[in-house]
Amino acid sequence: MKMLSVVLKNLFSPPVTRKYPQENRSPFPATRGEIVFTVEECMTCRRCERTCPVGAIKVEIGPRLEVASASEGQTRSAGRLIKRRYDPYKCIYCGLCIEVCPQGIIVFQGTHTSPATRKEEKVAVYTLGARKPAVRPVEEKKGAAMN
Amino acid sequence: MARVTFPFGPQHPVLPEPVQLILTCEDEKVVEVKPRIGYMHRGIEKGCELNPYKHNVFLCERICGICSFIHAEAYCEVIEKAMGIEVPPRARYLRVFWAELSRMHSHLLWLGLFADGFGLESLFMQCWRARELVLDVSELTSGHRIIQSTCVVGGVRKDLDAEQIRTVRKMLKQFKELYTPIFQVFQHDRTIKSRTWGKGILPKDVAWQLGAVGPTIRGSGWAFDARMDGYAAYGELGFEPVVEEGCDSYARMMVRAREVWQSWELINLVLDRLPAGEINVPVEDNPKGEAIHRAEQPRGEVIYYCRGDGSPNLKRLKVRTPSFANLPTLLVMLPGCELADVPVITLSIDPCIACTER
Ligand code: SF4
Ligand code: SF4
Repeated sequence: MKMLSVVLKNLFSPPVTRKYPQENRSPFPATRGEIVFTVEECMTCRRCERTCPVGAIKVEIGPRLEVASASEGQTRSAGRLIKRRYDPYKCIYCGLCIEVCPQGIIVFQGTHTSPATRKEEKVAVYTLGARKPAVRPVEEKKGAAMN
Repeated sequence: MARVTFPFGPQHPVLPEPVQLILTCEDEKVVEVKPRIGYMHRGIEKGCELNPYKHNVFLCERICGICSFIHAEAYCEVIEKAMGIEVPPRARYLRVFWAELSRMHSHLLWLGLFADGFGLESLFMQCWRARELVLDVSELTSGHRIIQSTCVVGGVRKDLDAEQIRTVRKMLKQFKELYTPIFQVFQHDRTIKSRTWGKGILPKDVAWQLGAVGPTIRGSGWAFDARMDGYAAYGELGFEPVVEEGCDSYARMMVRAREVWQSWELINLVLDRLPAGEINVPVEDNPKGEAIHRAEQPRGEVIYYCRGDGSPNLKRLKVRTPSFANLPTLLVMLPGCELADVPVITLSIDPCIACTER
């Protein structure tokens, strides 16, 4: 009799599991998901690069760019070309880069993302203008830069 | 009776871990067994010598996918010992919180796999359903379901606020409702008893001689648990180990099933007594000298040893993992058993080859 009531109850009750992918639980606020980076605000301090435990971030500082100035035969500096490479396949989503970024421009995207179909780095190229905060020299103290 | 020798594994022998057992059988009886490992060595210990010591926390966390937090915690504690760092009390309590969450989900995962091992598919699903709730608590508090990454040298990286504590308490209450009937099934079900009772006997003295650890030795009547040392906050929480006297697969299963309750109580206790204050201390120096630390993982005692010379890289890191200590007990448990019991008995030590080979 008891068994029959359990069977009947289970027959008419909805499933306990979610109907994924139609129904999706939104992630908790602190979830460490995809990393997004607002390149315009970066001051190229390279803290994220030094802190990353797996070397997923590489900031390459290119040569100084020069453009022809208004006066004849003169050039003026137009900043440096910066290439910021981030490899989401190396990244372990620890969130240390987010903690150390002084500009707060690296954030975890608080949504579920679909799986990647191609294995590629995310590369952002931008110029660090001469008027913007100057490029700081890289501190040579490797490894002790996590806190 | 002619003897037949055949390989059992390494591809998915009851659990998706690459261990091979070379079994020699007479009819249906196992007479000899030789475990063979070495299929997935990853060179993590060497890798830890090449990385700066603070980055190793994340590498050690990946030695095992299930006891992840406790590996990170044990690594941090051994480095802190070597450097003489005092961790703030709140951080010590939070370490217990995440460590016990890891233990809960590891044991629930194992209980599910064990149920699957003797054919109770729906019990497997119920265990994993309860485990989902534990993983949700983990995601809520740390941002990740399994690899919490909250431990760092000097303390922890994340804190719990009042809102989170309230939600966690609510989820723990839900968990109690889910787990109570599951626990009763493991305790009393006749099918489970017939597959585990008196199977895979590991006598008390042999367990000690072979150096078994964790639920394997506690199932043979020894109160042997690294948490009794009182590391992190276990000393202040009044920890008592779970011990069963049966020496068989059933006893080992019951140790784990009861430890889920014990972890549940410890987490509640941590939430009640969580001291206020800092969650980490800044660490600037590099480790110099050597240190050794014992910690209790779901599978048993893990030992971390480190040696540093004042440079950012360690000179040596040695990890003795629990499954490595437990594998020899199969040489005693398996001979004499029926071939059909081999999967269940093998599972009863909860072998984790990922951590054994590192
Ligand atoms: S989340 Fe961690 S691993 Fe990923 S880029 Fe940031 S620091 Fe590196
Ligand atoms: S830490 Fe932030 S500001 Fe500095 S280089 Fe990285 S992204 Fe740019």
